[in-house]
Amino acid sequence: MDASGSFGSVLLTLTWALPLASALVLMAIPAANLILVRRFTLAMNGLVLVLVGFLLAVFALHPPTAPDGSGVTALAFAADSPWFPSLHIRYHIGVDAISMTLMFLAAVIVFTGTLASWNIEADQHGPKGSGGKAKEFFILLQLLAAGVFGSFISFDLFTFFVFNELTLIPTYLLIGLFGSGRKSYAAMKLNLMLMGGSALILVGIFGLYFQSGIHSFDILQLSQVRFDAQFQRWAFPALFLGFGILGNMFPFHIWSPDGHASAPTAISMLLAGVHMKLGSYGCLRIAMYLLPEGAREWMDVFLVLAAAGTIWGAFVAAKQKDLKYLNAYASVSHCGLVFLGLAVFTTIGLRGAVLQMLAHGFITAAMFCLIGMIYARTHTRQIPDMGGLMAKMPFLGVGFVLAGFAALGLPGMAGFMAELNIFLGGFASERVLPRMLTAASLASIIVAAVYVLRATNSILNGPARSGNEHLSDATFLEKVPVALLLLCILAIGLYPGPLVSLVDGALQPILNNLNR
Amino acid sequence: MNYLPFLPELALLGLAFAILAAEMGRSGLTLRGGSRGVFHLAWAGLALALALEALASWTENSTSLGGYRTSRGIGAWKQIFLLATFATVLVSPAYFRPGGNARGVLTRPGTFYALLVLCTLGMFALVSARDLLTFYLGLELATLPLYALAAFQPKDGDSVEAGAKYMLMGAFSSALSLFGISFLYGSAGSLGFDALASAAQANADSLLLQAGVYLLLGGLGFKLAMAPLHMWAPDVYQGAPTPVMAFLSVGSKAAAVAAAALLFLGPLDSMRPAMAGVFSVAAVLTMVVGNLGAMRQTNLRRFVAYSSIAQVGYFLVSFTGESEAARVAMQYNLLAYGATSFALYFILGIIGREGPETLEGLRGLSRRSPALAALLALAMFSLAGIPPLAGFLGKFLLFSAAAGEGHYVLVALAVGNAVVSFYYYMMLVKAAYLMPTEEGRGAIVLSLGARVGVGLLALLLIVLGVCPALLGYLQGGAG
Repeated sequence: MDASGSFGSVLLTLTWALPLASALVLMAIPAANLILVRRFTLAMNGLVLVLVGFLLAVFALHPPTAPDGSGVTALAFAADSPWFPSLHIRYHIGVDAISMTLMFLAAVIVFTGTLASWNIEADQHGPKGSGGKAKEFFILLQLLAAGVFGSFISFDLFTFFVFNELTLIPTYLLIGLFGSGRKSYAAMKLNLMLMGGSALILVGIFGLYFQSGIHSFDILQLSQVRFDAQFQRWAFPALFLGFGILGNMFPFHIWSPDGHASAPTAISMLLAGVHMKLGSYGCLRIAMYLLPEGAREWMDVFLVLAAAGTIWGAFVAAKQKDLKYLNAYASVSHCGLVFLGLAVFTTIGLRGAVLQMLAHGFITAAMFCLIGMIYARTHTRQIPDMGGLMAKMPFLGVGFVLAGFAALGLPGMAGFMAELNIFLGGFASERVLPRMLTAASLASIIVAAVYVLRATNSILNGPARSGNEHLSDATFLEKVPVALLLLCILAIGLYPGPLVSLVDGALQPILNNLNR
Repeated sequence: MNYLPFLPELALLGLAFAILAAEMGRSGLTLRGGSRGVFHLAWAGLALALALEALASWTENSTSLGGYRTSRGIGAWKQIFLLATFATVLVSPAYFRPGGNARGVLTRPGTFYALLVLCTLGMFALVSARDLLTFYLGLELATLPLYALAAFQPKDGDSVEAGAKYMLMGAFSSALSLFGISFLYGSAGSLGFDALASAAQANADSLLLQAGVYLLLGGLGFKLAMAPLHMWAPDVYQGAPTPVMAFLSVGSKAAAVAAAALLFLGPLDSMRPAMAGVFSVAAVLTMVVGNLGAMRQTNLRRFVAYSSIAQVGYFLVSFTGESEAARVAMQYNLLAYGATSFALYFILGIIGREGPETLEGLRGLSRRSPALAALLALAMFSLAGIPPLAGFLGKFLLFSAAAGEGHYVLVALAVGNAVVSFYYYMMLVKAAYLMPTEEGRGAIVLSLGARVGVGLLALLLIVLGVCPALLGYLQGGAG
């Protein structure tokens, strides 16, 4: 790597080192100095967003390209140095288009999430005693961010695993301390399910390390190993399922509605928008990329689960009265589409899956953000208890309408591009099963329109509820995150060309491996 | 003849008698401040022994003296024992101070420290043994003082019960070991490990040899608290004074793991592939018993006991692995587990000053002392094996040793058990963070020393999880 490459890798390291360092600095700031705590966190996360934006721009101008027919992913800003030399564990980082764009998603959501948590101190509707703990909130938020960023840039399985697991500690405490409803139960359920997934992943990682014959945790090196069929037969489902649990795959999604509904706003945004993407990212980057023969063998099973999740999630979402649960089940449906895109095994399908990771990330974050802001005013999340909010809070109302349109896949928004590719990818398959299941999954689009439009209509239109007369619209600090997220959704929806070509470039080595 | 490698043993022996002498002569010899005097003598002596041991391991690669051998790998075990004893001594003074513990005050610190040091000496002999007789001698010397230590609160019924129970069980296990050793002697024709190794290689199918091996494994299994031979542990842990519990769960466990490792990764190495099934079943059973048991506890001492039983299960997993990888993994995890446990005992010591050592006592800790609560959370996450903390790397190494030999099902069960353990470790975090403080419990003010201790322990838990230097040091200890 030339000098600019090593400079880029330092910047890449900073994406997780800055949040981690800021957590340490926050510990030293007195809790009473709330203004400093908030401003410092926002400044750091703004800095990370600028940093990641800069890296994305550089990346987009000079995307690294793998030679034709190569199965080795070409990385930008790569660095590779030993960590535990005797165990062949290395700090190997870098990004391709998939991880780079997901990094940007993460940076936007961490930044907007910080703004959305601005009044975490003033939130009187959390549990008693959570007041005065804003500092802890931001420390844990920064730890969670560090884990997420670190995971996306790691191309060493051990390092990836460590960063991925690092997110569990703050998640448990954030939901347990700052959540609402059955938060203790939800936090425990979420963590146990995710750790169960991690257990499968860990066994799979051991298998990859020892069965490769080269004793390596390096994803790029392992991608060139042809594992024997017997091994792939058990290792692939272990890894895909392990990541699938994190990625919200039906029927292992049961942690997510409770977890996301109980979590405080910023954490719902981060968990549903970014953290869950680590799961589908792992399915693609680790399970499918490294074990293509196993993937071919097992794909029909996961195809059925993906389609079932897509349809089931949509119907359950349509029955929800609680806005957060509605969005959480919509997430199950939308994440089902990610897995559908992966499992139909076509070029377009994979592209759709990656686009859907991004699109769902932005959309669900925008939804959770808006729901949190509405809840902060109405003090209820029950759809029937709201009404006529559009007149009282036009900005939030319009934002909710736009985010809802994006969620139901309106053309011009990010969700449409992603879903279009997934369905086209499904129909492009030569086999009957993927085409049939894709056709069935189309039902979720219709149901999505039902639950989104019904909820939007019910909370925004009609007469205002009594007691809601004095509600105010979003403050400037609240408008920024909503606008930023909607901007990203529109940008992907209206001008997807550059993104699609970047993603296609990054998918090529994976496809070469899958078709070898 | 170079005597440097044996200086640490001599130092320990001298230290034990010096402490006893100091206590006996307390009136005449006036060590200032009674218990403080022997305390300082004890930790300084142990530090000296540790320095000598480190020096010996670094300068001498391998030395033997008849049935007694030292090497770098063995030196690493000894350093672990010394660290455990040292840490036990460091947490002990509060329990000798009136009002230092709600359960009552300990007396005769000199006897206490002398017994601890003698116990450590026994562990030294255990790992340095090159024949079964020295091995047995070490095993006994490492155990006998613990019977007395468990009963060190003679006016407390629980403590006496703990001592009596531990002695009865211990005597039974010693008998089993001795019985096994006699069988091994019969089949190998010699007590030496070399003869045993060749006998194990030549006729591994011999019934006499197998009987000896399994009896010895049973005897060690008692010491390890390996299920189904774990019954004594919860009662003894509950009854024994807290520093003794700390030593039992870390130091004594380290010795038992080391003893089993030295036999089964040493002279009996050739039998291990055939015994993988036995170790796997024992490991799974021990993990499950420990984990299920821990879930139901509200008394933190019994909780620690069951959690430590589960940890034994994780150690047993690595017995199916390649011997060098397994040794390093066990030593690393002993350090990681030991550091994590002492973080918990440190907290227990402070909680125990004013209330019972139960889950109730931890309630609202995050409001009474944020630093202690944070340390508790770190320790629990580490015990549950969550990176980047010490416990994760320890478990990772243990499991990777087994995975290296292709025992993926065992590894999957072990990792699954670690997930289950997360549930009950979180009960403590939940009590500390999510439950309101009991009425009448004010903020806990930490002394400067305690604050430094909290900081160092927290740092240790993280450093052990991410810093490769220590692992390299242990791996350098081959031979």
